[in-house]
Amino acid sequence: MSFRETNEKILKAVNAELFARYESALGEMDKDQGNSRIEPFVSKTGNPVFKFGGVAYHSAYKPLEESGVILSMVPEEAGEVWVFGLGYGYHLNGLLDKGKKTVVVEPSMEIFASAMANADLKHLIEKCEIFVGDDYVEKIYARDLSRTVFFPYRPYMRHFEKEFKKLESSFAVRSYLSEKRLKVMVVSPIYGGSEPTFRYVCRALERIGVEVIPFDATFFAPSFMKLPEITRNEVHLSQIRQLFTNMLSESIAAFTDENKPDLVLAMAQAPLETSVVSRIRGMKIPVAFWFVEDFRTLKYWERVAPSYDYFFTIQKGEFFEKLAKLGANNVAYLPQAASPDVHRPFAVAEDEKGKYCSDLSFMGAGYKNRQEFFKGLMDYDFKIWGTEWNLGDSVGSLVQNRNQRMKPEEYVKIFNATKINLNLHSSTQLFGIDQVGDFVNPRVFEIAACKAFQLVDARGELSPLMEPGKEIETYRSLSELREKIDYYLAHDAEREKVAESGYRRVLADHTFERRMEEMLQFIIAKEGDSLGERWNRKSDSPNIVKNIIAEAEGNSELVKFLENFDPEKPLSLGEVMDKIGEGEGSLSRVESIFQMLNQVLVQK
Amino acid sequence: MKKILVLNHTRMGDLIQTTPLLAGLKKKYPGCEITLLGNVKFADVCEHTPNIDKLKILDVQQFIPQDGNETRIIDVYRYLDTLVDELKAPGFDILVNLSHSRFSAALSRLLDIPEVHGFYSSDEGYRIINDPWLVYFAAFLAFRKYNSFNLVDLYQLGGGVVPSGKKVLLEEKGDGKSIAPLLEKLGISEGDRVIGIQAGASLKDRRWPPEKFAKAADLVASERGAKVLLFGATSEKELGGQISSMMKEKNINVVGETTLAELIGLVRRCELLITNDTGTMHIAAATGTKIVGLFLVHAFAPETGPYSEGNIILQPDMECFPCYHNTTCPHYACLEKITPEEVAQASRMIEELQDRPDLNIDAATFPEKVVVASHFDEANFIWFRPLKKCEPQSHNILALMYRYFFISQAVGGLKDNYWLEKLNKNYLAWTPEKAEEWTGKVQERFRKLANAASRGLKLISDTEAHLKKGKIEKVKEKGEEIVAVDREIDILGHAHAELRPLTRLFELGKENLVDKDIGIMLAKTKVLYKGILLGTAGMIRIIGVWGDNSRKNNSMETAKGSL
Repeated sequence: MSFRETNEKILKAVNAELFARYESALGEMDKDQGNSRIEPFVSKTGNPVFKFGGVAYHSAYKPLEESGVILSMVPEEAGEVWVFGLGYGYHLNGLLDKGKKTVVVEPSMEIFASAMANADLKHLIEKCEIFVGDDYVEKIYARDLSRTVFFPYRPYMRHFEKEFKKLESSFAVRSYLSEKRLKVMVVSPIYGGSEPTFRYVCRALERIGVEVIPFDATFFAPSFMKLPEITRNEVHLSQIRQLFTNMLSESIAAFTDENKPDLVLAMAQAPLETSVVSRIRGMKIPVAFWFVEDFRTLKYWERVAPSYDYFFTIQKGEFFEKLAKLGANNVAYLPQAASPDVHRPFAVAEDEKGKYCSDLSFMGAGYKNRQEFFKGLMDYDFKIWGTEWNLGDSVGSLVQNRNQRMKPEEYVKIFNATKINLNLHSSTQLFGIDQVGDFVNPRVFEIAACKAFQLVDARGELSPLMEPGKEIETYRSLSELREKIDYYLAHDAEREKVAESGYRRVLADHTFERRMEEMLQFIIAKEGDSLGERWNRKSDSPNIVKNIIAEAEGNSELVKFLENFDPEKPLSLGEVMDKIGEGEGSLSRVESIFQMLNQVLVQK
Repeated sequence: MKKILVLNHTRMGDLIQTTPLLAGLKKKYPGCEITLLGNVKFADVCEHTPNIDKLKILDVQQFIPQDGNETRIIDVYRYLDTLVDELKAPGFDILVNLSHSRFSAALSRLLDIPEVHGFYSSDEGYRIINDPWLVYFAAFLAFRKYNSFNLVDLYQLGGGVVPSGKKVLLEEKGDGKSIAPLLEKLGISEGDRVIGIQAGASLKDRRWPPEKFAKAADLVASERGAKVLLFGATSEKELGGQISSMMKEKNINVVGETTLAELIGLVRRCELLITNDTGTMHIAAATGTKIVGLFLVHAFAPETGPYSEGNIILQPDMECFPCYHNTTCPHYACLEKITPEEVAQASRMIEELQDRPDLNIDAATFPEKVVVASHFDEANFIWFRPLKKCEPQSHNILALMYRYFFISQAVGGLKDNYWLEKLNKNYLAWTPEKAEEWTGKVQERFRKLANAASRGLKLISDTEAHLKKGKIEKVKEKGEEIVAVDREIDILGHAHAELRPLTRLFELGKENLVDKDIGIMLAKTKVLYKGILLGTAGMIRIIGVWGDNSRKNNSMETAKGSL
């Protein structure tokens, strides 16, 4: 049996998912052989090695002697060892011989395929966990990386530095979170566009190992919406709304003091007055703001941006210049994203296909530019979904849901059921396409995360995020759009290929988990060790339950009581009081002392 | 030898206010040993408090890192665990817990001392008050204008001691001459007249504005030819500096500069202290220094006024005064009511009051102010006597009636006209017509309350009968009816403020019922209904006396007006 056959047999048995990807990639590579950058050859000692882009990735003389290269860097007490770069595996043998649990991340499917064909990977495939490309991204969240060490295989730095840095940053954040037990308070708007983003952010932060304390201001939305019924006098109404917002702002201050987070993240339009931001910063808690709006359309950033420790934006360039002039601190670009547990590919139920399926669809609000532009598409099998459409006109007749709000769980059915999803960035000023539009809306990522094909108006900041022509298709005019619609309706396989590439790209780079990692990495780099130290929640914090138990040894009654609580978390006196309240019968001595303790520490 | 433990670890003023109780305990139990559990913040006050044989200091502060790091819970737990053992060891006979905190209630339970006066925790963790006067103490904030009992008297009664009419106490350590070097350093000679100003307060909201203090100090100092000492805590240094710079008269700013011993000595040296409701005020009461007190916002003279004879308190005469505690006022208009000139006038009256303890002033003076003077009455309870002779409001009359009723129940030995004499001497009489109308209306309200309580009592008897026969369903039925009657009682108390003392005491009495045995619960509830009946009967009778008296005395000074 050849190396390839042996390797494939084992890989199929051990990692069916990777095998399927590899097989699919092989087909593509066979068609593209002329462009391969790999040059396999044999070393002086007769071992298979290779060059990539003209650079030898293993010793041309004695590659077997590389076996100790990584091992020599690994501390004795390390648990798992992650290595960036598989190559033909020679550098990993020492780790396997030593019995070290090894995870390998190979950035290039091309190199992996070459290794499968030319190297003996039997032991590696059996004993290591192998990731190829970006599929490590999802797996890294569930890991405790507190005892994990991470090394690059040096030759890879020549061609894959960018991929390495991505893995390194994920790793850094995850290691940090394993050690620090960060607590982040996230503040939602009362209503509006960034409300779904708030929910995705909370979920994503939890997934990457952060304790999330949400302040969900949407709870107050029904009352806020009722305020116009009180008066039609705009001045009075404005005053009342401001008082309402002030009340929420004060509530956020009290909530912060009650919950003592390490970081506060306010979403766009969160009801947080700048005076309260100052007070929270006065508690030595950093406050970040994610402005997920178009700075040219919504201008309140001028008033609020300088108040924050960190200001994240979905636009760069001119916006950064303006923010710098205002004296805003620590500004960073953080585009929107998708939430893979919501935005995902699936087969729409048979009985729902009639409702959701179409050749062309659009999901979004009826802004002026869209109402006009879509008049040019009415001859297609075109369904529109969303709110604020003029149902009386010709475009309005295509609106399927009569302007009723739709939840994400429903509109992903549209993305999955549609052959071509249209995306047109909104504008209240223009008709049609904003030719100098820069930022990218969340729909770009949401549709792609459903492995659905998308045609989006060209945007200045799109191409670093998604590669036009390969991962997404764009248009600059109605005529170009119509051309591409006709083409892709007639070419299913091409359409699916672009959708697949876009899907992989979003999962690798544009999930909310990835965004939160990026955000935290930025903040961690600025805050240094002080982040997470404010309330001292490190795993060696004396108030972690297991640490209290260790110190309480000898007081069996106290130890028994403490065993009611999560040993890995700090002891919450609130939870202790709840536990005591739930009990029946006479209070024990331990419970009584905790009642006293709660009083004195609360009063301090 | 009786061993007594007293818990009072809240504020400095509270400690000083406990001193008559401690003296009373020493008298009641000759040879007893008193241990006080006090707060570390006021450890130095404890050192100057007489009649304490042993002092135990509660110091949780030591576990709170100053650098903002987290407090180690295990350390605090161990400290409290050890504290409990240390307090159990002596085998106390009596516990007097004047702190109404959950902390002290929980501690009281753990100590398991045979005789408890005050707050403690039941086995299930409910806070119980084990003395009717401390129940009253917990209740009176719900009916402040109807209460005339001072905290110091309530502490004594709660501790099982009858008030003796003696002021609060502080010991000065050493031979009393230790203050001499400090006085010299401050440039105060033997013949100098000195007044003191305490402009700060533990609650910032209760402060009279600094510029008014400065002006008042100038006026009084100038009139008396006195030097001015500015007192205050370290946190009030900025305030002290402000007042000092605003004053025209020479002043000596010792804000944040004195030890407690020095403060006591300096306050004693003053002939007058002008102050908000503060700990320094209580020090002045203990040293015998006369006080002009400004009670604003939440502070109310009858409750926490200085416990010594002959002080004058100025309060705003406003519908919203005094404020509820823990509220934030949108305007604090009361802070602007009292003028520096009025403070100067009150300072002059202090001297007059010493010569004429029954001094009254014209109703037109001190417009929109209530002016009262502290005085130990014939029952040896302190009373804040109104100096302005004007028409009483309904609550003034009822406060005196309730005072008489409650003292009679607890202590006895009062003259029947104890309350009436106070009314007649210090207020203008109403017209007979007005008095009659008021009498009828108020008596009717008390009758309504009595009616509800009677029904409650009947329901209890019925329930007991059903319980004896094992008719559980009937017991449940009656239980629901009892709940309805109790709700009616509560509503009456809220609808008619004059009933609130009785209904609030009833409500707190019910909260104290934590017995699992239904029979015992019913018996105790019966006592509570009887309490209302006793109270309503007593008040109806007293109000009737007022009505009769008003009809008889239509030749006396009267004031016109309506209810």
